[in-house]
Amino acid sequence: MNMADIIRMAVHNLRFRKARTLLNLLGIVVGCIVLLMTAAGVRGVKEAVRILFDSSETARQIGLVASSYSVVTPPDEAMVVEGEMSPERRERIRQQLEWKWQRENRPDKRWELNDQSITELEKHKKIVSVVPEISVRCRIEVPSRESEDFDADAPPQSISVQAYGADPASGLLKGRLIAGDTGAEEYSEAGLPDVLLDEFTAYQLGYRSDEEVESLIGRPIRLIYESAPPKQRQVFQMLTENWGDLSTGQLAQQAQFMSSIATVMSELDKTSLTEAQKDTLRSLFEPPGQQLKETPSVTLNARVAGVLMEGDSDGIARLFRGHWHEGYGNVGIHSKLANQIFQDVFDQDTFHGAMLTVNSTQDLAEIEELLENQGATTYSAVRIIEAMERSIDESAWVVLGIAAAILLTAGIGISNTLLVSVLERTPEFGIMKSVGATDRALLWLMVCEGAILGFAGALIATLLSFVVGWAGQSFLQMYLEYRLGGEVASTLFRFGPIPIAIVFVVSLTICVLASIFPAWRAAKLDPIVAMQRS
Amino acid sequence: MHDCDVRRTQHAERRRLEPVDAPPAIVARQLSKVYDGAHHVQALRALDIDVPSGQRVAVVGKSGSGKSTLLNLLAGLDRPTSGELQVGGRPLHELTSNEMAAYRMQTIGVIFQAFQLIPQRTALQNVELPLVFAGLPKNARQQKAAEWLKRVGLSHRLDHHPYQLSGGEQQRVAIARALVNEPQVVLADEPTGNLDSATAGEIVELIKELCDASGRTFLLVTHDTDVGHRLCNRMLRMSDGQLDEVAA
Ligand SMILES: Nc1ncnc2c1ncn2[C@@H]1O[C@H](COP(=O)(O)OP(=O)(O)OP(=O)(O)O)[C@@H](O)[C@H]1O
Ligand SMILES: [Mg+2]
Repeated sequence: MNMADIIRMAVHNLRFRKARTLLNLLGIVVGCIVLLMTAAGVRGVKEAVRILFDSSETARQIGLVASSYSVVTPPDEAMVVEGEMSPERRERIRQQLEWKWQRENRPDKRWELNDQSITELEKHKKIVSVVPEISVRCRIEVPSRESEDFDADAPPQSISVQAYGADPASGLLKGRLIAGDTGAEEYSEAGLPDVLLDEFTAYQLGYRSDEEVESLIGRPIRLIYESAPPKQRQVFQMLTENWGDLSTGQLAQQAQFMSSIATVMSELDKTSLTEAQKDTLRSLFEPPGQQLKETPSVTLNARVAGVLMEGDSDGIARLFRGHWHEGYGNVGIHSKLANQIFQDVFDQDTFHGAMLTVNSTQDLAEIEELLENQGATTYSAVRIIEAMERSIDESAWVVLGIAAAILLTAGIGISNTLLVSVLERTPEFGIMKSVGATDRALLWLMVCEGAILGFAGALIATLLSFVVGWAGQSFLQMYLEYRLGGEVASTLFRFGPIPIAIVFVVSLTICVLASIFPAWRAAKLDPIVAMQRS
Repeated sequence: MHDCDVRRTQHAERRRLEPVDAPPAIVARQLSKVYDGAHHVQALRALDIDVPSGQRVAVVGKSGSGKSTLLNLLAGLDRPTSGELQVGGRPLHELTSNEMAAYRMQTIGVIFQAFQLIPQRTALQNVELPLVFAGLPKNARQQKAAEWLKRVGLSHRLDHHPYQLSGGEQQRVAIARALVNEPQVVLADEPTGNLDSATAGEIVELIKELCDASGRTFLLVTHDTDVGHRLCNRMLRMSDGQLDEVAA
């Protein structure tokens, strides 16, 4: 007896008992639909979360600080704790040994965030951009309201601000514009560079009404940077070593500090310090060949390109990196230009931190690991996304458990029906045996009936799931369009080939398992007894 | 009429016996069957039988004498408690369950008193059934089954289900099914037992005709000696689980 005949016969038998077959199918179909819809729903929600996050530029950003040494795990022999002691104490000592080893075996050089390492990072195909965080205190000047340009008669308006390197290509900036534009995306040395002001700076400069803010666009602006010579800065850094890492934003304070020191040094003799104290100060601040001098200043002529609203008003942004990022500052210039000024004026070639943007939130974890391994501390949304996905998964397990219960019940039901069917068809099996059916043929016949139920159940469930999914999607679309007047970007249910395959396997397995006992009963029937039942 | 039948039978027998050394179709030695359930019943007692190939044998006897028991053993539906049983050269007492199934499919055809047709299947499908297990392709199967239904006079009833057929027609379907595999040995257990006398006569005629035409070995079990006489040229009497030859 070949398989085609077995299948044909099984189909015939199932069709002959339509009501029972349909009821059996119903159980399987319901279970499979729950199973499939759960899988598809979980995927859809996850995907939707991804899309939501991906559409927010902040969620694709990694804040990075090049402050830590790359972590090297000490060899086992360095962490052997000798002597008898409680396990708790042993663990504490072991931890200390590890730290000691790490202190002693620190790599000579920290990983530094500089032009070279940034170029290196930007080569990575999953990294979209790396904008070093440059935020320097400076003074800005704009011509008085009446004059078109700076002129000697009317003194310019001037305030002290924090100037930062901005990336005009960033979607984040576009979202914040209240007047003008984000300026040229490419920085060129020719022409006046573009500057972005924040609304509060504009307000302080006297541009208050919407009209006034609008009139600010295109006006000339000056940025005046002041700094101290590098040697003095070293002393300053030495003095402030214990304050922790210096943020670049504090560099300007050096200038002020240095000029105070310069004053003290020039009038040292007028102070009531002892000679020993004076000597100490001299040895510190007047290294051989290095005379303290007035801080140099650099002036940058530019024009106002746009006015931005408060940076961290984006809720997601605050959620993701508010704990690290202090906000950019008040005046933005192209990050390439900021970088150049940073290096020229402040003679600084390493950056404290950077904002790195990746292609998709899916790449966050990988890139973060890469950076951490190099010795950077990173901050991003990855943990929040992971936690969200975890909780989606957890609730999915509950629903899957319910689906499993439904399928199991359906399986028991099928087993029962097939058993009844075997009892009912006892004479038929007796007759089949009497004309030459082997035990195995009957076994296969019944198993095949189970398998067909399982397959048909999974197939119907899959098709129905598509329909339900489509209907759900349309309904949601309609509802959202009506309610929000917007389009729905993501699909509610995403049916993948793997969940569908799993549904088929699960359904077939349950139905085949359910049919094995009835099939065995059919195969083992005594043909004489079986035929006498008719 | 009766004479004519006998002559025809003898003629057929001669023709068939031409290869003189044709092996015996059925051989039983010391065949015993004991039903050992709640009650101990010895249905067959050290029974011996030899049926040459092509012979038509009737086993008659009282109710409960063990006729059906013998037929079930021959049909490969049951196994002897002891003794040897060979049908068509196959030692039934030694066959595995799969070999037994093959034996039932290839070597024998059985006609039962209660027809034993599958109610959910049409006449054609019922006749087709042995060929399904023989692994014949569908077309060949249907053609052959239809052919046999035609031979039993049911070419107009192919798609009828058993409940749509009269008793006599049902038994014709059963006969077609028993013969469709062209078995060496045909067994029949009270084939007319469920039929009125007129229909029974027709069925007897049909079986006789088919047996004459094919020259197959035929063993009939019945309590009706008259049917036995009309169909067979040898008669054995079963009593108390043993067989005795009945003089013609
Ligand atoms: N499965 C069984 N279990 C126990 N005893 C059985 C079984 N089948 C038959 N018998 C007994 O074996 C004996 C022979 O039965 P069998 O059916 O062969 O009789 P029979 O000659 O065919 O009778 P009938 O002419 O009424 O059909 C009977 O006494 C019967 O009660
Ligand atoms: Mg009987």
